[in-house]
Amino acid sequence: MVELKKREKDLGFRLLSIDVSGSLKRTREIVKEKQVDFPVLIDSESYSREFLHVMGTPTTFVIDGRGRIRCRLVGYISDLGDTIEGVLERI
Amino acid sequence: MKRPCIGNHPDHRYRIIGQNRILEVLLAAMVFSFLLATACSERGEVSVLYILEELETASSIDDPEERIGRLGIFIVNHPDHRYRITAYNRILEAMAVELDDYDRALGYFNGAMERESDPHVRGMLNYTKFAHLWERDREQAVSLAGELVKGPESDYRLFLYISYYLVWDEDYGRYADLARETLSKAVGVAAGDAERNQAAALLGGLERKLGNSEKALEILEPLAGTYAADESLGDILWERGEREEAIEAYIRLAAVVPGASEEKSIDSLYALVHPDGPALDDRIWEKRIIDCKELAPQRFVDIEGKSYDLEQFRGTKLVVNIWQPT
Repeated sequence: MVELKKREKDLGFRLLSIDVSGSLKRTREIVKEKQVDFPVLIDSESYSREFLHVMGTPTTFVIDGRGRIRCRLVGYISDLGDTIEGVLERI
Repeated sequence: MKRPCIGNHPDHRYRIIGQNRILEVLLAAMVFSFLLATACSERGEVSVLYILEELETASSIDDPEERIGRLGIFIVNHPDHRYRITAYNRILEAMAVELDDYDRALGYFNGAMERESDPHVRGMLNYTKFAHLWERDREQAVSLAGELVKGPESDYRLFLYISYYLVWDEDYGRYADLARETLSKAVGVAAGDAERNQAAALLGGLERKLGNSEKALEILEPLAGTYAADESLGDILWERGEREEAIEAYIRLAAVVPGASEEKSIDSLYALVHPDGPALDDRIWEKRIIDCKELAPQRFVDIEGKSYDLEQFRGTKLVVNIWQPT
């Protein structure tokens, strides 16, 4: 994700992450360790589960400019940047 | 499945002064009530970050008895907040594991179950008990699972998580019957299609692994298009020689789970079935791009307390990654 962040400008998107754990201290440790510089949002109301129907993590959504969900990707993705680029080119 | 764990924070960030424990608890309650009141926004909301900070502070206390007390205060302060589940888990972990006092943990658990009516909170409490027993006394854990399946509890995740233990036991198949019942219960209490399909897909996968392909197919075929089902469906269809249908299932799987392409060697299988066909990548991309619902409006707070409203990103393409630290 940190690598994907670097491509925000080129690919024309914003990156958000939503943490479903509720483990604030551990999340902050990882954010600091990985030098995360994009928003890490707290899912205090189970939005991921109740609205997005996320059944496991990581799950990645790509949303178009109209706010519509255009892609859902589940699990670890080795070439995440290229995959996201492919999605963004097509939406 | 990861057991609920206590905070693993060596730094003792908070210490209640004084020797009298009742006085300590009352003083702490007063302090936190004051802090709670001052943390409220103009609209009367309490910042989720403040709540999490309170939880983490309580969890950071070295002394398990103090920690249990402070976590108990957290639950009193936030009787309706979902993070009280974490507090309960950490209390139970401290009692059962750290203090090695299972009877005390069981007493606390029973008290919580009497107080709590929220099905999800009850479900997660029961799951914590099951997970602990699984390590401590397998027979008791299995007995508990059996009771829960027959009983009135209705939390989907309780039955889903228990099924993971039963299905993926090191002696695969040992708890097959109970796993089936647990997954069937999960299907029965599921709140919507997504949950129902997930549990049913696991049930189909279980039947397939047990060699009951016909039964598995009966469960999985209606779930085609659910990525959790497409893997097992593809496997069964391939084994039956229905290779074109199998490839379609694998393509649907790879569209949502890119990592599955390599795991299942889908490109090799595809080449066998469609040696002169369109490129596999093109087929996968066709399925990968969907046009689904709009994001529902939602406001979030980030880990530093800054507010974000999803509406503010309208007009911008977003990549949203849902995750949790391991």
